[in-house]
Amino acid sequence: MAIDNTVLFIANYVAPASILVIMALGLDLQWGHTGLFNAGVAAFVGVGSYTFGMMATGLRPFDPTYGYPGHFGPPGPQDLILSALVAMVVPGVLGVLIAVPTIKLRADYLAIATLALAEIIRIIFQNATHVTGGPLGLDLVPRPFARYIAGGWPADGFFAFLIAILVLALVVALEYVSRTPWGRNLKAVREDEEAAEALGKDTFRLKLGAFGLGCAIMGLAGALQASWLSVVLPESFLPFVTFTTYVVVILGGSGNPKGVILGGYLFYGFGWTIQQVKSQRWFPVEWGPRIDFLNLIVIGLVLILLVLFRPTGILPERKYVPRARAKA
Amino acid sequence: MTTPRSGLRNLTQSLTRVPWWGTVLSIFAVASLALYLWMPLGGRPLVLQAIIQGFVVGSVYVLGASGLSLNYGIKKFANFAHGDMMTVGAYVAFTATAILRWHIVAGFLAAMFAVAFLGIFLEMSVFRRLEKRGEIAALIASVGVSLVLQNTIGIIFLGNPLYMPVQTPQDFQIGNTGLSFNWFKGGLTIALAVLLMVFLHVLLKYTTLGKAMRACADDLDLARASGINTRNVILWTWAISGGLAGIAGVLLGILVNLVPLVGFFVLLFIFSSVIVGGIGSPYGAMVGGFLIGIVEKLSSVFFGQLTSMGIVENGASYGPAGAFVVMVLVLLIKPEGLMGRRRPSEGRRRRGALFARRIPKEVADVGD
Repeated sequence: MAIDNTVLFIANYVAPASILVIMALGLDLQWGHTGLFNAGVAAFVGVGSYTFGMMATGLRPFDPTYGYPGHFGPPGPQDLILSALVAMVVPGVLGVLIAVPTIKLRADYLAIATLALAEIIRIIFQNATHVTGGPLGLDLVPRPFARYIAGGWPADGFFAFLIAILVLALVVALEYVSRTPWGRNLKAVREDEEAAEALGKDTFRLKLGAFGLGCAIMGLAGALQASWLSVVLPESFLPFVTFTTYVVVILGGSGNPKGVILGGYLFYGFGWTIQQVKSQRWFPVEWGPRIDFLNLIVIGLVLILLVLFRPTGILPERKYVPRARAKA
Repeated sequence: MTTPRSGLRNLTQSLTRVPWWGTVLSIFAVASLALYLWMPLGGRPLVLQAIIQGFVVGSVYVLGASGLSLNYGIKKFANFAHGDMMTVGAYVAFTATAILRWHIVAGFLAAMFAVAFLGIFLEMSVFRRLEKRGEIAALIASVGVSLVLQNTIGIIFLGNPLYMPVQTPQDFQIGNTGLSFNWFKGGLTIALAVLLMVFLHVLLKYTTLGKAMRACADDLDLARASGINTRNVILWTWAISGGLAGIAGVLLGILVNLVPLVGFFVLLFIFSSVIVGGIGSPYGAMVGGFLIGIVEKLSSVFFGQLTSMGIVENGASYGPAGAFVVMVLVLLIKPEGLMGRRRPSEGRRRRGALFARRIPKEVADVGD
C-alpha cells in the first residue's frame, strides 16, 4: 500500500522545509522588519536545538562502553512543551544579551560581530565534549506523542503536520504583529532610525525586542529540528545555515512573512528536487558530489541575481498606507 | 619650580604621550610574559612556539587583510568573497604546479594574476552595479560570489584535500628547547609578507597610483572632481587586492592542505585583522594580521593549559575563539581599531539599512 511511502515522501519535504521557514521568519523579524543584519542565525538555532535536546533527554553521564562522553541536562527527561518553551527562551535571552552591546553597530560591523560570536558558540558546541556531547552531539531526542503514535510513517507524518500548523500559526501571528504599533515602530526603525527617535520611539528597546523575539523563533526552529532529526550535531550549525536563511528571506521577500514562507518552501523544494533527481539515478552516481556543488553554485548565482535585479524578492513587502492618506 | 605634585603630573603626561604602537606592544609583551610565567616549566616553550607560529599564520592574515582593507577603503563594503578569492589563488597555483608541472614561483605568479583578473571581473560584472545601493547589498552579493567561487572550485577539484607539490625541508629544531621552526614554510611566508608590505607601502606613499588610491579611499567624489580617473583606480585596487589575496592563498595552501573551503576558514580571521588594525588603513591591517595570528596561537596555548589543569576540555581548539573575542571587544570599545580614523558614523547604524532601497536618482546621479 503506497500510503506509507506517500506520507514519508511528503513528510520528508514538509518538515525540513517548514523548519527552514521558521528560521527565516525569525530572521525576517530581525532583518526584514527592523533592519538588523544578524549573521549569527546558525548559533541561535543551535542553542535552541541543544537546549531542547538536553531538556528532552535529561542528563547523560559518561558512558565508557559506548565511548559516549555524556552531556548536561536536567535530571530526567522533561515534558516536550516545556522543553520547547525553554528552547525558545534561552536563545531569546542570549540574543538580548548579545544585542545589548552590539546593536548600536553599523550593519556590516554587526554582521561580522554576530558571525564571530556564532562561530565561538559553534566551537564551544564542538569542543565542550562532556557538556554538549562534542562531535557526537546529542541523540535519542524524542518526538512529540511518541508513546501514542507508532514510529515510522505515522510519527513522521504527524510531526510534519504539527510543524506545518506551527508555521501557519507563526505566519498569522507575525502578520498581525507587523500591523500592531510595535511592528510599525520596527519598520520605522528600519527606514529611518533618527526620524523614529525624533518622534520619541525608544529605538534601542525596539531593536532589543525584535532581536530577542527573532532569536526565540530561531530557537523554536532549532528545537523542532532536534526532534525531527532526533540528533543534534555541531556541524549542523555552520555559517552556511545562516547564508541559506538569508537566501530564503531575500528570495521570498524581506519584510513580508507570506513571502518568506513562499521563499522557504520554494528554496527547499529546489534542493530537495536535486536530491530526488540524484537518487533516481538519472545521472551517473559518480556525479553525485559534483551535483551538490552545482546546487550551491546555483544558489550563489540566484543570490547575486536577486541582489542585482530583484532585491525585494518574489513577494515584496506591500507599502503601508495609513487609512487617512488612503481616503484623501 | 618643581613640586612633588607637578613631577607626578609631568610623568603621567609623558606616559599618555606614548604612541599607539607603544601601548599595543606593551600590552602584548605583558600578556605574553604573564602567560609564560603562568605556564608550568614544561609548557613554556609552547608560548615561544605560539609566538613564532603566530607570526607565520599572521603573515597570511596580513596579506589577506591588507588586500581586504584596500578594497574596503575604496568600495566601502566588507567583501565576504575575499577568503574564497584566496582559495582560487591556491587552486590556480596547485593547477600550475601539480598539473602543469611549472615551478612554484610560476605558481605564485599564476595565482597572483589569476585572482587579480578575477577581482577586476567581479568589479565589472557585479560590484560596479551595486555602488549606489549601499554596503549591505554589496555584502550580500559578495556572499553569493563566495558561494559561487568555493563551489566552482569544488565542482572542478572535488572536496578531497590536496597538497601543494613543494619539497619542504624538515622542521628545524632550535637547540633542546623543543621548539621547531620550518625554515622553508614559515620563513617563506613571513618573508613574502614583509616584502609585499614594503611594496604596498612604497606603492601607496610614493607612486601616483598609490596617492590616487588613498585619495579615492578618502573621498571618492572629491577625488573624481580633482581629475583622478576613479574607474581605473577602483579596478587597480581590485587587481592589487586580488593579487595579494592570490599570493596569500598559495601560502595558505603550502602551510596547510587545499580544500575548497580553505579560504573561507580564514575569512573571519582576516576580518578580525582588519577590524583590530583599523578599517580603511592598510597599515593597520598589517599590524592587525600579526596581532590576530599571535593572539590566536597564544589563546590556543592558554586554553590548552586550562585543559591540562582540568578546567576546560579540548582547550587547544579554542584559539580562534580567543582571536574573535579580541575582535568583538575592539569593535565594541574602539570600532575604528588601532589605526583607523574615527568617522562620524563609525560604529553607528546608518538609516535605510535594508538594502533594497536605492538612493534617489536625483541624488545618485550627481557624481556622474
